[in-house]
Amino acid sequence: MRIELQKFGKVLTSRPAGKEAWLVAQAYTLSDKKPNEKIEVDFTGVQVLTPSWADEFLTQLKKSYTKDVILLPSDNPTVKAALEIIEKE
Amino acid sequence: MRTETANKILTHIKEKDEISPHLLADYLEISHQAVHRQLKKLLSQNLIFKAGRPPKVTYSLKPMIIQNATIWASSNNAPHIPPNDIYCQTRDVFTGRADRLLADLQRHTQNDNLSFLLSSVVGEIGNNSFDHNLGNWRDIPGLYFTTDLSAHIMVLSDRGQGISATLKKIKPQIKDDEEALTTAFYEHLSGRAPEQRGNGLKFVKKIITENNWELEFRSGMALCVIKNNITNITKSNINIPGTLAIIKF
Repeated sequence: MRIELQKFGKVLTSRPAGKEAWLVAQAYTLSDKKPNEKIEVDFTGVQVLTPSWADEFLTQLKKSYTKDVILLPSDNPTVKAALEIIEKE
Repeated sequence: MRTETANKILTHIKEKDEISPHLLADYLEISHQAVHRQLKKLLSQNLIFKAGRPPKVTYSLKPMIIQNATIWASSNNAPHIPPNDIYCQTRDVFTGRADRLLADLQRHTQNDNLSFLLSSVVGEIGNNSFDHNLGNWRDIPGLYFTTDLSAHIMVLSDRGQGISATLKKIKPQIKDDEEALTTAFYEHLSGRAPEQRGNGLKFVKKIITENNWELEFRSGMALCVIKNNITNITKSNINIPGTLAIIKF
């Protein structure tokens, strides 16, 4: 399955927004995930991503589905910087 | 409290745009040592800045948006509520203004990537104020947020608990404001347990450094300056109980 982050907004900056997106994704998207199905995270269309939003959404996603999450490449400089920061953990 | 001499110096610098200490001493008819004492105080109060190197040093006034924000952030008593175009009482107001800022930056810079990066820095700093101070503001809740895009300056400030008080909750051994800022800009931890992350200011530092912008970040009696790719954390002469961030791009 593919999660298009732009469906949560083009500017993804705050923790509460990230937390809300995570709850919604669990309820309406990830509930349909089949066992061993890969989850592709698509950053297309996202203009601004911060580590705060990413921590609430992507970190939780990766914790819950460790082996299944694939972060698709992005040219957006804030996506690259935010992922680099949260992946240092 | 500024002395009459300090006020005269500020007025004269404003008239001249920039001036050397030598000319100031001549104008005020006081000693060079006395002028330097006054200039040092005004520098520490964030009211003027120094340019050049001896013997060609000049002083100019800091932009009004920096002076006003510093006065608001450093006031011991609850200051006035800022005007509506500056004050974000709630996160929703800040989010709306940050979204508009992105569009303004895109128009102003004609550079999408640069606008996205600046917007991410503003988003991270502004949201931090709400993440760490909700329900714990010292007096005025919310964020002071103003920009002067033609001068390439953006300012954010809050009257919250400050970095030191926030981080001491999970790292009690922090001994002063300088150590707190060092922790915030270099170490991976969060001031808001049980969340494990505290990457916001590391992210800000990375973006500012990589783009050769400038950041002046104050909290308590500490000052972090990122300039020319160098991060310097020192003791400050102004006490900012919450936080004050000045971004120059």
